[in-house]
Amino acid sequence: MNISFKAEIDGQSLEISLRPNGDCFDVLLEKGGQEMDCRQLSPHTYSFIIDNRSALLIIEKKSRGLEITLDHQKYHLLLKDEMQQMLDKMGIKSEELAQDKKIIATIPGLIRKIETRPGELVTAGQGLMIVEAMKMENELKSPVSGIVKSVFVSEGQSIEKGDLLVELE
Amino acid sequence: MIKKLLIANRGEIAVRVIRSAREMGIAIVAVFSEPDRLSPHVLMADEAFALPGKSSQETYLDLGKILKIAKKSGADAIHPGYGFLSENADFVKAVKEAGIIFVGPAPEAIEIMGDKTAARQTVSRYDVPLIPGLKKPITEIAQAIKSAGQIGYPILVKAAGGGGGKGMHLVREANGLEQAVRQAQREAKSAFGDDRVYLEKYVDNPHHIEIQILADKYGHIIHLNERECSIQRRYQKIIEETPSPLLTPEMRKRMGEAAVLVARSCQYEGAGTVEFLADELGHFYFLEMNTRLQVEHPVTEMVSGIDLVKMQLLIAAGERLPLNQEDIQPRGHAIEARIYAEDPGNDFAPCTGIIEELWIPDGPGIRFDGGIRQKLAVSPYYDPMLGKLIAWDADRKSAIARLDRALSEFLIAGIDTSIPFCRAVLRHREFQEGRYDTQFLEKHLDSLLAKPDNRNSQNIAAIAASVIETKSRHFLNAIDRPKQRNNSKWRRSGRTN
Repeated sequence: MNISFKAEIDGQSLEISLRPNGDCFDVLLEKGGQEMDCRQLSPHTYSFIIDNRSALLIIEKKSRGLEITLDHQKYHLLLKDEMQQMLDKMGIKSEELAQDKKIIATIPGLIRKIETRPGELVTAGQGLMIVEAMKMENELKSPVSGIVKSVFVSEGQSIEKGDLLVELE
Repeated sequence: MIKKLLIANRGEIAVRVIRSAREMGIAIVAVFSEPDRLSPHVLMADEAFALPGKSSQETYLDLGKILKIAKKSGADAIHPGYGFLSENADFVKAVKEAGIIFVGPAPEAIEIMGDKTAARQTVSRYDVPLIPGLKKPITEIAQAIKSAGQIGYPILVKAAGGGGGKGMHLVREANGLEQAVRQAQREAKSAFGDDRVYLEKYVDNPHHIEIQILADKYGHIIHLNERECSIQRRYQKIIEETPSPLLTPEMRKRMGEAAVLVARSCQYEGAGTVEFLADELGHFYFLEMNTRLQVEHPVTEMVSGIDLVKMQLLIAAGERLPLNQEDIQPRGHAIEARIYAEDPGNDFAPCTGIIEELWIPDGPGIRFDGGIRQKLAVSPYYDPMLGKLIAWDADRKSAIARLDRALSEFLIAGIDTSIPFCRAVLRHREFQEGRYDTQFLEKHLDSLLAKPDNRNSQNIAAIAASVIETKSRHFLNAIDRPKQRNNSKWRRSGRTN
């Protein structure tokens, strides 16, 4: 069973497919299969031998994506698995960079529960409402801290992508 | 000879002094702040005393605390390293009053050379070229404008009370002078508590070249040739080398002799460095004297075979300097790269963190002077320099290749470092051809910071990331199994923030 990813790195996009092989994986890139051996040296340091090329990498999770250091060069990488690639096709982003005070629906769905009210001080990451879509529940979290100015929807209401849901002061 | 030495410093220079002192059979006393409890210099010392506190002010800059420890430990000498109290005349006086040997010059020499204006006045009595400029600090703007006209633009406005680029402004035309003077005065007041500024001529295509000197207590002074330190960013040195690609043997001889005169002018004792500004037409001008051992001293040691710290200790103990000028016969070429805990890609912002994995380069002609070890926590309280990597080889081209090779082996995981930036400098065509001056970094900063386009490395990084991500999810799924219903893939990948 293959596990596939799309990797966005420095403006380039790469399709990667992994097939479990013992302790590690075989990898399929656009151009064909490669053998791979991977060993961990310490919490973030790894030795990879990919297609007989030996590479020492430092891999760290950041707030957005991963940061890889190879030969003293840093690469910022966004990995999207199959689920996320499907959402992409539907026009849904998994990470909203909302600097805005206006919080917009990124998925169509049904408001199940409203967890806040005007005048409440919310912190970044705090749940504002629960939206049901594709038979699963998704909690909408506030991207920034602030005071809720208005809530434009109510429980039981259907929403479309792009609808204004909440505005912060 | 000294029996017990207290090192009033930390990090790589403390380790450096420990090594030479120990070879001479001297017992070592270390001092350490709270964050430095597990630093290499503490672990290596014979005795260690705590300096309660975190900031430099509370610890390594606290005269009183350090003197108290010196007396308590029975140390008969103190080595100040560089920075901190090394050029603090009050500290030196207090050390001497306590009957303890200070490994360095007399407080009078420190006071003269520590004040840029006084230094120029003292040196001007000898046959040492000075940059045309006002010897006295500016008191009135009208006077400044008149003098500036006499000196000739471009003009540098500089702080009399300190260096490091603070309170320094370049003025190319007369109508910018007043504003520059006022700004420099404000900055100097804030950085040194002393708002005196003076004017000097600015040299175009300048090279920062310094001469190492050694002087004993009996008036015997020699020089150990030059170090070229023009690769600087905001007046902070990054790469230093010897010999300088600029100097002819004749210029080297003249500069060496001038440096000895500067040392004589303040009756210097110990190891010191005389800094000059040199242009590409064979002129050089005295800038200042640093009355301490300098960070980049290893390159001089590598080409001369002389241990400068041992010389410092011998001189301080009252022995005669066992070297004559003819004994200084440098061989080969040495280059040093300073390794800073900084992120060059983020405007060189200092980094803190824990060193998770550490591979220090080695092999023929490689030396690392560092104050780090695996699992060390790099704290935000002090200078972010982790250490210096030095390469020696028979000629400049080989030394550059060797240093680049060694930097490529240097692995530090857990913090960002300036290693990739140093490598970019070493690989730059103009640096390799020896064509650079103090403006090199500023001129080429963008190309030095640019990431090389490497599709192969990107592929490897992407594959590695996918593998690690997959493995970590399997691990997470395995331990999360009972709660899987609430921790759906939808949640993890479908969040809107």
